[in-house]
Amino acid sequence: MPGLRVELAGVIARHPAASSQSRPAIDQLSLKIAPGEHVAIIGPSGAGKTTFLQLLAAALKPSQGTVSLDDQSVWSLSTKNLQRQRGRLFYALQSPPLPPRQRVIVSLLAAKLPALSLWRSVQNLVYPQYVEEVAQALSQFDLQDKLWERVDRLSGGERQRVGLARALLAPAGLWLVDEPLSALDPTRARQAIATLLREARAREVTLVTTLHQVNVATAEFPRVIGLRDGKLVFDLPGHAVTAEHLAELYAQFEYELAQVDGPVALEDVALAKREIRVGCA
Amino acid sequence: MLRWLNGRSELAVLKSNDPALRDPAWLRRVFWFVVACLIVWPALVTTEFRPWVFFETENLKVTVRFLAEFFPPALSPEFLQLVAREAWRTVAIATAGTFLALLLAIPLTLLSTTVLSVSSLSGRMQALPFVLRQLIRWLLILMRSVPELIWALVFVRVVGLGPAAGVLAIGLTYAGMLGKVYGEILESGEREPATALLRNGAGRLQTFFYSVLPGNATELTSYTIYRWECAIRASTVLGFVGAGGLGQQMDNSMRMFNGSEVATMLIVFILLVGLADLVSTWMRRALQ
Repeated sequence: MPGLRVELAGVIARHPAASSQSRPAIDQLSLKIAPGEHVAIIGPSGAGKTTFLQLLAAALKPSQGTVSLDDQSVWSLSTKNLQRQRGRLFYALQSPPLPPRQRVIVSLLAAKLPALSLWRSVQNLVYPQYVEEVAQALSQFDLQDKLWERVDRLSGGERQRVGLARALLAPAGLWLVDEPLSALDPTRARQAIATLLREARAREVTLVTTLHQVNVATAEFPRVIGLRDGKLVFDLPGHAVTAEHLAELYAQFEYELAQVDGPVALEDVALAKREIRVGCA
Repeated sequence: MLRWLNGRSELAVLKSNDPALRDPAWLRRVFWFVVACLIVWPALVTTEFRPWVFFETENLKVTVRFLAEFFPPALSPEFLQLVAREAWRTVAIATAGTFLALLLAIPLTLLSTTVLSVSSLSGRMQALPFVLRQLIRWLLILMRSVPELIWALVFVRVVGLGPAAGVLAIGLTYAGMLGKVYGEILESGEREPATALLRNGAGRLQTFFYSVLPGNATELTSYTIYRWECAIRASTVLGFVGAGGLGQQMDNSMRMFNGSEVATMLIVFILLVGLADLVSTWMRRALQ
């Protein structure tokens, strides 16, 4: 599955529950993401990062503007075709909502559903197929021994990695990942992001992820987008993001930077070199 | 207690009659209690509910005489054999009826539940799916609002006297109940897992099998088994109108004023309901 091309044109979007007069979560945003590109979205809390992902995932309808996947405006599609288009993307929530008694293998196979016929998917419940593929995906995230485990017996971090491993099973050309590292310790976090990037490159899928860990974003991603109050603050290659950029992006939210800089930064050489301790500046 | 007054704090001694210490929810609670009484009172008057009548000596005597006829329960081997056969028939009617109800209720639930709505992922549900869901809801109401006894009288004329009429009657009424309650169980459960799958492009039925069913299996099973227990009771009542089983036997014994036989059948009955309870507990534990 080749990567999807993404385009936002003049998009204004609000949370479904918000009134039409309220300040939009995404405000007049226009941008393009090329097939196979890897993009990290950073910004302080409430910047509209998750809303941005929901827009790309066709989970939220913009109140103005168009969202296009592969040059096709998603909201002009019929329900059936829209659902088919959703099958071509994988949207991982921060904490994957899984039925408590489900086993890890089934929850991973669930990501494969858009590619399976109903008959095949029921067959998987009677006796799982694709066991090897699932085990392969799990081992990428160091979870190979959890194959037959129930998801409610996993720790928060393991659960999050199960959510990421699902991406490797999904028949998708666009991975949208919300805060993939929020429940992971620094070592696991680096490992997880490296796996995601490596696999995305190998499959040539487009990867868009929101990140709280600014240092990871700037060090690992060829393209970093800074969002604040639903607006684009900068759109730069990771290595071109300077302390000034971050200071502007996180003004009055410096503590968020300091907080995530903490454990990850200490071990991250790339960050130490760049000295983006804006909080103290 | 620290209170903020005009921007500065001061220590205030609160008296027990201070309005700030009164439970603000109290009046609402009184209001709803009065409303509940106003609803129940006319119902009790209409139904001539006077429990003390029960304890008047004259009536107590009648009651004791009636109950005394039940003792001792009939325990002759031939009769026990008959009861066992009829009890099995009752359970069979209930089981087949519940199964039929299940077959009808599952597709109706799948069609009517909003949890599996793809169109509502985009905000509001579209008009056509909405109308379809409403129609199914009314169909379910129609199915369960006609008592199984009436359905049985109808089917006895169609398929003749015997268990088949009972199975059909239970199947129809219980499909209406199961469909309604299944829908409510699915809608009150966690929606996120299902929404997440639908958002990733899975089909409705795939989402049902991979997320909705495993997420709600315990509640669905325990309600279904409870309905099976109710069906055992219902199939007894249906026996009185000729659907066979324990009910028909009980009707015969009552006509002949044979209290001991009725007593035996009641005991079998209690055992059956207890059995259903055990099965339910066991299934719930297995699904944990």
